Amino acid sequence: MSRISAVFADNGRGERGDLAAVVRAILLDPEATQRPTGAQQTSGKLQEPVVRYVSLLRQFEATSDDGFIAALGFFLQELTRQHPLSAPSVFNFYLPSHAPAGDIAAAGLVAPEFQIADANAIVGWPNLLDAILFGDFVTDAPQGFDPVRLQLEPYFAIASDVDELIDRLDTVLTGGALDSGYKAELRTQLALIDQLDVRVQIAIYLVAISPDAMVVR
Amino acid sequence: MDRRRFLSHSCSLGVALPTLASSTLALGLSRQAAAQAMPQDYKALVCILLAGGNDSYNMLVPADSSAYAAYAGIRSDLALPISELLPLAPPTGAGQQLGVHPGMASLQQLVNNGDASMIANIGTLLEPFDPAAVSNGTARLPVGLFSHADQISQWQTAIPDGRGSQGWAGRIADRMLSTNPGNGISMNISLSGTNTFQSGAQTREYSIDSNGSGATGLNGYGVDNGFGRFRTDSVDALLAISRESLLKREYARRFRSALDAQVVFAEAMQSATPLTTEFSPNPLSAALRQIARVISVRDLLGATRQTFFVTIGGWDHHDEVLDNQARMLPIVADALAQFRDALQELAVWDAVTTFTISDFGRTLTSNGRGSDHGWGGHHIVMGGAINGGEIFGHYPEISMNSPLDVGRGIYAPTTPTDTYFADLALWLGVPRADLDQVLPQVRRFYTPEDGGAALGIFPAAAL
Repeated sequence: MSRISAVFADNGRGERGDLAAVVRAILLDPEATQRPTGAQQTSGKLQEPVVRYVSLLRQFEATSDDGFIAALGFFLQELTRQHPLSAPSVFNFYLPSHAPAGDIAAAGLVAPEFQIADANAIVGWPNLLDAILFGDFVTDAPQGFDPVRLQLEPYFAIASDVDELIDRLDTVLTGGALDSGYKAELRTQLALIDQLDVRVQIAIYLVAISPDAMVVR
Repeated sequence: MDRRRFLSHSCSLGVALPTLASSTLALGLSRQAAAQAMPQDYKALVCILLAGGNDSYNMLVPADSSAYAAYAGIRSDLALPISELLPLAPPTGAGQQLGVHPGMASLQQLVNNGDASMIANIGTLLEPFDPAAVSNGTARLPVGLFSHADQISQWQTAIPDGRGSQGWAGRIADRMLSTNPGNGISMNISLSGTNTFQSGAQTREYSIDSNGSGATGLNGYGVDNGFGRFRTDSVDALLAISRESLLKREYARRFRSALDAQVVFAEAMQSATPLTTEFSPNPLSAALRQIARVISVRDLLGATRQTFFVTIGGWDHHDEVLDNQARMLPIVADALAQFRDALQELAVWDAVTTFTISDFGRTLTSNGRGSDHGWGGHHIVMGGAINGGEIFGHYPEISMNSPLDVGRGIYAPTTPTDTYFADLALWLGVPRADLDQVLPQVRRFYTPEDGGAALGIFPAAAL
């Protein structure tokens, strides 16, 4: 707050109230651009399922023959407990005050999105990815619309180099946050898969279920 | 490994296949659990949350002519016709004639049969309601009265003067951790996901759904073939990597424990007793059926004490309260009766107590289309261990000048939720000396070491 209000007071050229400078300062603030460090990192949030799903579709340039990205979303609801505009009450899907039992509540913190991440829903996301990546079931398009598919060809083209594949997915799925130990383990596992399109599908699956993809800054 | 081979073993959407690896693991655990001396006594609480604030003054209604006239006068277009009320057998104490909603024949039968009782005009309180104290501003009142978020929470936390995230079943489970089997299945099982009621300092609920085994497995995980082993190994290895971020740790921990618990749970549920009792095809009946099935495998799960939680939402009837209740109250009543039949079929009727909670009662006055947020309301408790056929608490005398009416026909409760919860907690087995830890404010209304019941739901000897 003090960093941003200082820019509001003086944009560096003695001008007060330069909103463009304020927006720039917010977007480029260290809190937005640098990863937190330390043994007890408490920042970030669990990304909610609908946002996670739509991000994935956009990231891999979902498309279809008729040009529509048609989805009813019921299978999203079934698997992840979330469906656009279908909150169970006027209080939406989770409460801002939700503090998960255990370390988070003990630290006096809240993590609202965990309220819908119960034992079934937490496995629901990988199963959704399973359907998208391995079952060619990207959306539950209503009748009359063409099926939606992801465009993974650019990744097939680089998949022979496991490191390059991992780095690319790290960039597009976690914003470069993928844990180095996770990367090393991933490298070992992916090297076992010879067929390159399958390697890509499995790589996306394993990066997209990583804590680094699930928790956004 | 190739794509076709993978696809042939990747199961279809939402279907968890029982697997060789999981069978082996869970059978081992089951045998181990069975080998331990199973305590013969088992008890469970089943909490049904009517989310949104049930207009319960139309669920339990004065049925003698003078009291009914006062009720009908204040409810105006929301009044149920007296001729349609289903009378309850005169309760032993108060002597009032009450009836239940015309769509709740099953509830009438449950109460008149001694299988269920009602609790009248109960709600969140910090002290006995005193209209003079409210008038002169000295009354201590619950935080956020009439607010959904606060009141729905306080019925679960039993702390009406604060905003907390731990519920009283969570605190019970915290105290009973040492007697849990430690197989990853919490003693608090939810059919409606994460909730305050079942969250403690250490305790988290185990969430299941009403389909199949109730527990979703990770597709392909544990499958005994090339890709299954690959997936199992890679997921296991990746989840094992330690994390500094609190949130990432919590996610990885939940993922890990969900995988482990599902194996044990799904395996146990394969032995669930096939029920001859038929349940209606609605979410509440389906949830209660699943709860009965879980109870039938309690020994395989190693559970001697459990709580179950299920929400049925949609009770915030600012509009169309009559039509909506006519549709929804029969669902509740019929589901309760079906659940009773199933529990009797499983011979655990005396071991399971089912009870309702809700955000609040509603205004007795009409807003022209429905009713608005209130305070005191009426509830249902059911089970073989309870004093059945009773009306606990006091059904208020409804009148235009009632001292309990805090405005618009909002009746202040005369029975505090703490006494309701105290009886339920003591019956489940919370020692009297520990009741303060479960219900931190119970002493405002009840002194556990005095013995006896707080509200009288159970015979004193059962507590």
